[in-house]
Amino acid sequence: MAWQILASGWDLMDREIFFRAGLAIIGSAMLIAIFAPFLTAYAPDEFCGMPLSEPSSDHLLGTNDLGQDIFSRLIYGTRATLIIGFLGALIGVATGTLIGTVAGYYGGRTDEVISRFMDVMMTIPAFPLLLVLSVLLSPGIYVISLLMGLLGGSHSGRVIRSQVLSIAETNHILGSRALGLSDAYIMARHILPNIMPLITVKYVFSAQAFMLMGVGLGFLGIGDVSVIDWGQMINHAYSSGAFALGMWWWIGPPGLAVTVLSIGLAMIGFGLEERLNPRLSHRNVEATA
Amino acid sequence: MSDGLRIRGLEVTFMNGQEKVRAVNSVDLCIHSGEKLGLIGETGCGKTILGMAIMRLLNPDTLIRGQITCNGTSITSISEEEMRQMRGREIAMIIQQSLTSLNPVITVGRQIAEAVELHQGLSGREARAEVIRLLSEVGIPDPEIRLDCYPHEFSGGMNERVMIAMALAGNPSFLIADEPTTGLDTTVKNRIISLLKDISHERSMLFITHDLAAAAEICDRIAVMYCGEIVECATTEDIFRAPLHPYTQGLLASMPQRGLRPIRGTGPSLAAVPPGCRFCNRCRESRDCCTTEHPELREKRKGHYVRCFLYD
Repeated sequence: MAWQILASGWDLMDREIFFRAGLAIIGSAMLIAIFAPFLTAYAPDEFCGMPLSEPSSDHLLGTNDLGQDIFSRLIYGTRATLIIGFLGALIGVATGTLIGTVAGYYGGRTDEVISRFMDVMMTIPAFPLLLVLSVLLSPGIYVISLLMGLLGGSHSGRVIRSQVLSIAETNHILGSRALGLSDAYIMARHILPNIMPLITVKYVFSAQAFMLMGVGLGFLGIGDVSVIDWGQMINHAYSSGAFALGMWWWIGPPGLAVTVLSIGLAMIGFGLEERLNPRLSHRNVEATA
Repeated sequence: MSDGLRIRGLEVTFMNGQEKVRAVNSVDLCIHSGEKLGLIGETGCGKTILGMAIMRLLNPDTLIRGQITCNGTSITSISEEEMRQMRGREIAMIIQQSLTSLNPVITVGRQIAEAVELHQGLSGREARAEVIRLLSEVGIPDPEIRLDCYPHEFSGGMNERVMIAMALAGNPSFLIADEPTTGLDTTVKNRIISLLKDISHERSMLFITHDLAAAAEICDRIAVMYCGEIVECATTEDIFRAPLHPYTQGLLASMPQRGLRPIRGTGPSLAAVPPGCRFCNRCRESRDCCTTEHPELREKRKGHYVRCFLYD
């Protein structure tokens, strides 16, 4: 019965608050990424102080073993992390929407082929494959995003396919076909608007997953070495003995930043889900209880 | 230019799970240019499937055999793209259930405009003017205001009119109207019928319905369909004055004006059709041969076809 108590307490909390808090978090992260040069006193790669200095008014989070300002690196690292998450999700959801819509709309053979393809793609563990590809190709951040998106696209593809499958069966889609409208037109103008809410939610959750994946790759030391990202910061701090030296201001902030961004995205997704699925609304729960 | 629609030996079969459903069986029909043919039958007898087969809107894994030609073009053998070009322009279909047949999130005007832009190549203000013209043609008052409404703001009769307007946008020579009067109350129904009469003045039409009275109003000839096949086909006058098939007689007797006597029993499933006459389990006149042999559609009188052993 513990879950019931939990659930009833849950109803009292408005998902709307989560949605706004999430938006605030992601919004500020974006502003930080864009205005990074104005927020920091030092360039992220500049050797600007004594190595391994503690936090001070000159260096808010101290310096690393090369004498670079950790705060600057953290601020600039927002860029790579956001780019990987959002670009990866954009490519992933775009791929998923394309193949999911085609499969769901045409049905039959086409659906069979695409669905089997998506099944195969989903059995491929994306992260290990990405590891191997990164080691072999040592790709840049954009190529990593592209690979992640293509590998992860099947997840959204499957969900979108099942939604399109039911929309394609509706009478008004049949009516559009009876008028002689082309398939491409019907998919773009009649089906896409109907699945847009689903796409939005999928996008937010994919962005979260891809962001964490990007940080994970960095942490393992196989990201794009030319950019600063939080995963690489953690990796660098870890291998340079930040743990052993008890330098929490070096290893802690990037980890915390990833967590906050991830929670922010989860909150947006969570809030959106309620808006788009009325059954999740607590007002309805009360009404039907 | 137009010699109407000819259907020869049409068979439509599809799989429903493991069941093989023979929805349309060796149907031969001919609708001459300018003629209005009524297709009558109870729910589930394959009327709509026949209409959809003509439009080639059935699921791609549906098995279709036989020939359909429309104004000399063989619908059954042209490519999908050529078929798409014909839809709306040569043949248009007013599909069932106008309430769900319009996209709920797009305004009525926009939906008609789509058809206008596609078929007439108009855009912007010209397209809007054409939409207004179409709306007033189908009898919607204040079309300038109404075109910005959403389908849910319209009544059932008005949505039906919108569907008709969309079908007219491509100025097709052949119309298929699938149960356009179903679910409407009597006064609205009568207005839709007179609208259909007006717009089909210069056109051929296949009028699919289970409403005999509506068919009598509009159609020149009537084909009665039972369990996937045509059991009787004759002029409207002959059907009403001297119906031959026991099923047609039963249908007429079940009309409110003629005593509201229903036909006993229910028809066989399209997935398991009996070998003999498909109506024999409900027929008052059935004989021994009816359960074992399948009757052919024969011309009993001139232009009056019937599928029954009573007249052999």
